[in-house]
Amino acid sequence: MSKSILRKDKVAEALSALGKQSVVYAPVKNKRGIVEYRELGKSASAAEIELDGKPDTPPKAIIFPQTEVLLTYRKDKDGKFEVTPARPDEREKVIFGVRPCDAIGIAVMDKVFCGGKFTDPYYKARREKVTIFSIACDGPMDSYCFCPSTGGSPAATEGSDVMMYDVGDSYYVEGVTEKGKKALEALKGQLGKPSPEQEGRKEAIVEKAKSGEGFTRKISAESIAKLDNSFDSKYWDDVARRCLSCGACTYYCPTCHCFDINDEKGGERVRTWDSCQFGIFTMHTSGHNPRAVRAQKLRNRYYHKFKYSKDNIGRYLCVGCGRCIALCPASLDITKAISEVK
Amino acid sequence: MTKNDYLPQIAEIVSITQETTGERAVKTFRVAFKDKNYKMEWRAGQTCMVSVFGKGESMFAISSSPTKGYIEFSVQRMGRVTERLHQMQVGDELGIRGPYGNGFPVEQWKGKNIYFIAGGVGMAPVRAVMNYVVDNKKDYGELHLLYGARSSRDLSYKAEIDALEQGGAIDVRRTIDVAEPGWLPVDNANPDNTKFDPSTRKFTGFVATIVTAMKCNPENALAVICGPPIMIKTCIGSLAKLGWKDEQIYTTLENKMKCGIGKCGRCNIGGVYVCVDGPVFTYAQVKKMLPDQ
Amino acid sequence: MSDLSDERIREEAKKALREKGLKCVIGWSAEGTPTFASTEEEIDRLSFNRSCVNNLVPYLTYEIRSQRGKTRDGKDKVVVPVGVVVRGCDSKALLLLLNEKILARNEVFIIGVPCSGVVDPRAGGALFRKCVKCAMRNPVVFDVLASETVQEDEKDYSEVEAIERMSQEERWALWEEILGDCIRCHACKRSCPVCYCDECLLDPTDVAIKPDTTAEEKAHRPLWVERSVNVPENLVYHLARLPHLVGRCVDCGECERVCPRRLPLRLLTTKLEKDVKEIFDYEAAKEEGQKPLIAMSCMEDENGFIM
Repeated sequence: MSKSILRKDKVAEALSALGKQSVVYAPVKNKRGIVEYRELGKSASAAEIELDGKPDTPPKAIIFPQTEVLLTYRKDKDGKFEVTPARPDEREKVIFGVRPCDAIGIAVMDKVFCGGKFTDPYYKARREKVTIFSIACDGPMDSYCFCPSTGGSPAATEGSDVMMYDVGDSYYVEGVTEKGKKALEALKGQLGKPSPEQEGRKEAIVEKAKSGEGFTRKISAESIAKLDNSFDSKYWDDVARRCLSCGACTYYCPTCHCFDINDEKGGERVRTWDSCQFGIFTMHTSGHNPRAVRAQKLRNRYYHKFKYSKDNIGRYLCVGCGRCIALCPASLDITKAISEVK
Repeated sequence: MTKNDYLPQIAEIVSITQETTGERAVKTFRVAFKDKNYKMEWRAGQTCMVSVFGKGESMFAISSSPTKGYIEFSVQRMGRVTERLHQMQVGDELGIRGPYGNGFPVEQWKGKNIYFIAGGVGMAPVRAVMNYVVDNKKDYGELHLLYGARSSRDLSYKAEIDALEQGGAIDVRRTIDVAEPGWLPVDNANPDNTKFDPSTRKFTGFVATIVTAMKCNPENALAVICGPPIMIKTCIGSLAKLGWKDEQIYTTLENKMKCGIGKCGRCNIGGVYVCVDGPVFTYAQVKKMLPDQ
Repeated sequence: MSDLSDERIREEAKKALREKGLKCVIGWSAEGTPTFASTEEEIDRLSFNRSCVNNLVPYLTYEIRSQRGKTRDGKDKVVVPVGVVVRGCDSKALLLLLNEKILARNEVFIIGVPCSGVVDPRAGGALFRKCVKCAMRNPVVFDVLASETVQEDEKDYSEVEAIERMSQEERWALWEEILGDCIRCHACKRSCPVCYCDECLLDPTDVAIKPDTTAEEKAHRPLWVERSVNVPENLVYHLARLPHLVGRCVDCGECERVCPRRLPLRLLTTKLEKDVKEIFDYEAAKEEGQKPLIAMSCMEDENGFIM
């Protein structure tokens, strides 16, 4: 069963089969035209799913929600506190129709949250229950894509449990991990045997992916290497002049994971997404702010993506999805910024 | 579930010492865990996230030495969490998680002469490591403390440091910014000009000036410097002129922190996360960082 | 819109750069990217066409205000004037800032470009909805105009009126859905040309503080908006912006343009503009030297919301 075929007209059936054991998330177009991951059966139906393009949002929030209660604290009448940790949503989940860049994004977040000296228990509990069904891309999905420049590829399997290849009226389906192979067992009724022609088409997608064909947007390894000696360059002032210090790039990034923790009303300690681009992100209580101006903040983001993470976790913190370029209100382009570094 | 590092242990305040007064007052809080079976082991220089429930969490250095058997935090009144903390009474409850960070490499220091150099509330982490070293004095060489504050009223741990001094455990010198009777003024502009009797213990002048005037000897020695950035910088300058190498100088850094465990992404200086990689660094390490300012 | 206006923009920008010693001219490149031109060569890259979507006024404010301050001997620092290219809607926001004395007229050199609408890159070549019918196509404040003025439309209130006709329940459902979709990335606030405070009540947790702010002050600052992203907090976020925009928002639509969630935020700002007109007979940035609405309260003003 590790190599099989799922006819496109059987996708809905396959999703409901997966839904018997798991909660299934898939890309769905919302009422304002944004394609984002929704829980099928709850806020969307299998008929609405959009598998053909790159979803507008990464699946990050399913594993790392924007707002999450970490614990609650209660004070009794004697002023004594009791703290109760929140239990993360531990239902089995399938995320269906993920693009390889986003799957790598999850693999990168795994290194951040589950690597190093400490493991984030909330992230880990959710992550362990997630199975990822990815669809390989046939070249760049749009003009913003640049995954080959970041160590990815349109057919990369890193982070995916099951890979699917669009071979026309069907998907060629392959289990990548043990978890993925096990998930495919639930689809026995929907999966068939691939024909030699379908095998050939799948191979063609893989070969095309290897060649990097079709990508016009690029960051060269040489430009990235230049970051080693460009930290103090005036160049960052010029690049950052356009930045408005909003958090659109970070909130839509598949790997941006900075967060805040606050005690909120109702005795809840809440973790929320935060952005290194916000003015007070690094401000000390004294008022001192080591990264106070936009050039410092933007430079930190770019260096975090392409240098610090490479040094610390051995991988770029950018997967080349291009959403930060597509969505930047100020038309900032990370590929251009890094390529032109002086 | 995996060990939950976000979950604080409830601790009760068992004593409060008012170290200094004023707008930026410092108080030392001694705490004890409610769960008597809960043991926290730490190294001097490590930190804890302290919860004031309803106000939030802040990272503080543990200011007591692990040799003492009790946990203390010395906290300056600064913002929302610390303002509330300063209003709290003995018996009130806090949350504590940790310890975090690397701590001072006291094992590597054995046999060395040590200069502890502290300014203001920077005395808190220095106090922890100084007491550790004093309590293991047989393992170390000559010990010196140079402690500066704005005025004699702004010096913390008075009784404790006096007792160490009188017991002959450590050579202590103090300095303040504005002259008071009995405090020898030194020439900040020309530190080398300052002549003083070796028995002088109280000065008026910058900490860096006293470092030069004392002629801190780099041979088989190391220095621990904690305090405001300008003080650290000038003291390093003074030590360098006396022939100290960057590797001999230790300091602690601080930054805004939320998680304490290297995830939340705000305490980094270049690729270094102060919460897990620090807060203790040698000046040689600091020089290699990519600081934003 | 034509090459002719590009030539004119460049010609006037170069002339002002030479004669007025401008720090730079803020305009758009031919691709529509905000561009800071401080040499004649860079000015040759300036252009105006249908892909020039950004309101450049926030950049102008930043460039000028970041020059302000005191010299060592306590005098005001000299501000080097900055040039900017503005469309009609942008010019209204700029005029508001001039009227509020946030910027001084002699600090800015304004090249106005009459505009027949710009294209929404997310709508496949169609005009932005705000551009289809537009009552502010021609710049209202400028030193030079780069091309002939164009025909303007009557302001279109049809979408707002449709909401006004809804029942309270319908309106609540509408806003609950819209605001529930906000991720609070702050793009709307950060791109707003008339939002310029250093300190903002919508900033999460700690607000801007100075070295001499006391612990007590910091401790007692109210937190207006919790960081949690949910309907009640998002509602506070967006509704708290509005009172600060009364009689100030020119409905340029930049907040709606930049929203990565594509939220129809102009439903709020157009309504605000309409109400201000109907209740106070006031229009933001109508003319030079106009007093702010907030400075014009009078006994006859409607105060039914208090009584």
